[in-house]
Amino acid sequence: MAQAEGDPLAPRQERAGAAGSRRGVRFDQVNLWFGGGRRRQAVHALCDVSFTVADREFCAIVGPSGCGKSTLLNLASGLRPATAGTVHVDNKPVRGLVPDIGYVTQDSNLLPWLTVQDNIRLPLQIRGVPASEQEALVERWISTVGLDGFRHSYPRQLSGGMQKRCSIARTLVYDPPILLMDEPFGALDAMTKAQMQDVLLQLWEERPKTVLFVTHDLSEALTLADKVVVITSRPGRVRDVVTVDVPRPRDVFHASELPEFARQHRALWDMFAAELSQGGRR
Amino acid sequence: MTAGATAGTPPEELQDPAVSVPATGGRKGLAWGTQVLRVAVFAVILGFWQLAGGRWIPDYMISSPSQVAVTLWHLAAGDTPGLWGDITTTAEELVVGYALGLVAGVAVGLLLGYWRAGAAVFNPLIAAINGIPKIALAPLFLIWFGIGIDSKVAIASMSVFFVMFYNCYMGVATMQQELVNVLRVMGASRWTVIRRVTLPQITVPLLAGMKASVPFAMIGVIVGEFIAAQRGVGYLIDTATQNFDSATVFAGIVVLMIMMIIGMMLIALVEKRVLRWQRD
Repeated sequence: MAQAEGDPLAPRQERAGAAGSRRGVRFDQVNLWFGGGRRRQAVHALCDVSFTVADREFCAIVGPSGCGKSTLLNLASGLRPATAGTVHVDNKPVRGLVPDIGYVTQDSNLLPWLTVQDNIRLPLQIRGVPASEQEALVERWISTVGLDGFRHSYPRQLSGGMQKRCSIARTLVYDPPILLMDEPFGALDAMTKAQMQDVLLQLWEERPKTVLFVTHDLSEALTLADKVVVITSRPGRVRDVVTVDVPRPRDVFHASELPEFARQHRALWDMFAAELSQGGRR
Repeated sequence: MTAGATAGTPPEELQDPAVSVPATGGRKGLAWGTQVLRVAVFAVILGFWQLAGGRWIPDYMISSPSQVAVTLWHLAAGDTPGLWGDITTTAEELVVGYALGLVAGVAVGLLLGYWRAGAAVFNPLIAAINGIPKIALAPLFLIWFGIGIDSKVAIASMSVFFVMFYNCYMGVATMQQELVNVLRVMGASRWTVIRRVTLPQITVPLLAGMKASVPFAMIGVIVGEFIAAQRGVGYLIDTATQNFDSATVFAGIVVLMIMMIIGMMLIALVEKRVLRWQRD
């Protein structure tokens, strides 16, 4: 799977950041209130969230469920505006949808009426990539995610893991410099999950992107990320930002055996557990 | 039997996994018995009808299958003139009325599905008009559009419109926002989203509406022809009724059934093409 990755994706596409562009994401005192009508009280989802993800940095966002992790990605993509505070992507404040972003959602969200190859081709068509280049890119990503025998299959004929791989290929095929991933491997079994993490890490090491990776799995965060942002339970605040010490390149299948990993896992878990029990008390 | 089946099945599956869907085998196993019974039920009903016609029940009331067949033959052969002209007229009214109602229903359904404020304003009005039995409006339509095909087209398209409007509107209203967002993040324009997500996603309710509205279009057209017309299968039936010519009435009904079956088959064909992604 890996040997095909040596060649650049497309000759005319420059590596993100090569020309000095800074594809960072910055949250500044972001507050978000949900709902709030005549009868219902508004929910304070995010409270004064501030953190920065540098260009081509892999940042994991962890926190108890319902803390607003996924919402952070919606804010970064411009699908939802913040109630207060600003989100900067590429040094520009987010107003409306951000171009050049790839968003791998929690569900695969493939279009059920398109085959695997047409699903992967879709963003290329939308972005007006010349037809001559589409074919090669689709071909390449189908084999990268190991769906060679299934290019003409419809999503419902695929297993959950295969759908996920197709969904990841569909996002990476247009080479977005910023990648948002919302618990992409959450629903997969342990083996498939490790495989997918391996694929993702290889792809990222070859073509580093700015990644915001939401997960509730601390091991996953430590295996993949440069930095882990811990969010508290509702209202979500930044509890801590931890730099991951596990050296790169990392081996997905054995990273957890390293002493740095074990130490940080314990530290993170203590923080997390405290957060959970606090959330329970309130 | 059981042993034979279990021994015989696996090699078939190995030979052609794509074809040997279990359901096919099951359907084939039942098919001939079911088929025979279907024909038998049909034959028994026709037999009773033949027996009763003219014997227990007067001829002018129910005629008989043989008389209907003969009448139909004479009509089709042109011995009694006018049938083909009637069929063309009715078919034209049906197709034009159906198409207009379909397009208008989908267009307004999409519009109000997206434009929530407009939906809030117009929904009560649409519901009120839909509450009127369309048949009650038929005489009015004849006054407005004359006794030619226009009035029948209007009645049929109005019946189809409401079915299509509600199916389309509900389809848009219950649409998965996630898929829309996926495309928006990729940079799709509003029109691209409608073309690539909205329309495919509402094909299921739309096709259901297309099937359900065929009989409505038929009712509209025939009732219109009953009230006032110069041609059409409904007109043929109506004049035959006034002459107590039940054989021609039934012949007309058979023609309508055939037209209906052809219409349903055309829609089934469309459905088969469009919903390929739903099948295994």
